[in-house]
Amino acid sequence: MSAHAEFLRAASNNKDLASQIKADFRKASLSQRDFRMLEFVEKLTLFPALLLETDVKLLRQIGFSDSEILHIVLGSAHFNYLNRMADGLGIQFEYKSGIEEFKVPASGQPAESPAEPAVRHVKSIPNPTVAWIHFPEISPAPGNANEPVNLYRVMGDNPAARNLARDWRTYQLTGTPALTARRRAELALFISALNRCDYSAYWFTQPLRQLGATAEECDRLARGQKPEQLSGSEQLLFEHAERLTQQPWTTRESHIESLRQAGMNDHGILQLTMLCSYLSFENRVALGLGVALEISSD
Amino acid sequence: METQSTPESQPRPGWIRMIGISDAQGPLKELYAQMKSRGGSRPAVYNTPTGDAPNIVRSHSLEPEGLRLAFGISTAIHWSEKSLPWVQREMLNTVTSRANNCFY
Repeated sequence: MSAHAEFLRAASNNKDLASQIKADFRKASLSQRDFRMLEFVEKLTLFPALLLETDVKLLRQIGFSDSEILHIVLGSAHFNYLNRMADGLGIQFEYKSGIEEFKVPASGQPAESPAEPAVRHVKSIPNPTVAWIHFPEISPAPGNANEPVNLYRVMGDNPAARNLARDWRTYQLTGTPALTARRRAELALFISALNRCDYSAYWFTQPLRQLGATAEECDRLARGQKPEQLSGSEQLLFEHAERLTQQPWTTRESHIESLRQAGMNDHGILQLTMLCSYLSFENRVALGLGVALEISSD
Repeated sequence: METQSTPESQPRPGWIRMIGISDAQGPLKELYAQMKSRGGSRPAVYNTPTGDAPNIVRSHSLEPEGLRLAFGISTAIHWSEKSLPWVQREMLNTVTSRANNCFY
């Protein structure tokens, strides 16, 4: 945030505006249009599963085009990725800033309680539409029947972002010596459940079943519960995922050191942090744009 | 294999090993060169005081493909003809980071 408040000062040539938004955008001198955009962005970040189509309609009502709404969601979702990378790996701030700092809480309750079952019967969602925004269809359609095609279709107004999103997702799910494909799919389903993203949960359950997980194992993860009978080192992976998803700012170097002592090298720690952070992007794109499952309800 | 040279007197940029521009080799070196070339058209405020890649970019340096994809999509979202105006983008980035209590 410190870096981007500084960039905002440069973009707006207005230090007061940057300081106000950094402290509390609700007290800043903003147009109604900017204010509503930032309200949407805050909700997308803190309570993505609570977004409704009405929230998108309100943006449209105040003059945002569907292309702009797409880029609001993509931009904020990608910053949810970057924020988790920064806090998950203890990235030091290297820019100079003349804007007053705020105090990061040492710990605290997650903004959203994970106590409720996260994902229930994903097949029961009947939604004849693709998403809450309109978008240009591109032929041939991206992806195939084994991929979350609607997630890519909704980005049709920005084909470069759409193609990279598809490659990025494939990269995150490809197994490595540090994180097997099955472990990645388990973590992805677990995180999607914590974020209450039915869409992603469905699309991570499919490969997980193909990789040998039982229906019971998938159901457990889809409720936001860690797998049973994890070893100590495996437990650390899921704890890192949970922390980065719900309270990324509470990550400490000791957590990284614990992963290292459990046998994970820096490549593995980076891969794990990238995967967990990536899910904060994908889940928010799906939830923020109301991306519907491709399957029918029967 | 790349090596990292961070003098003991300098603060560490993060909790894992990171490779800066001067120590990068192979695909990472090419990627940094591409990013620097693209970044030339961006406002100078994005340049770090040291001239190295920003720490958030360097944090991905052990996995060049992950770096390419994460920042490639960032460019596509924030620096294309369809992107939001610069001021709105930075408002959005600041509020997202504030909501996440992310100091960086």
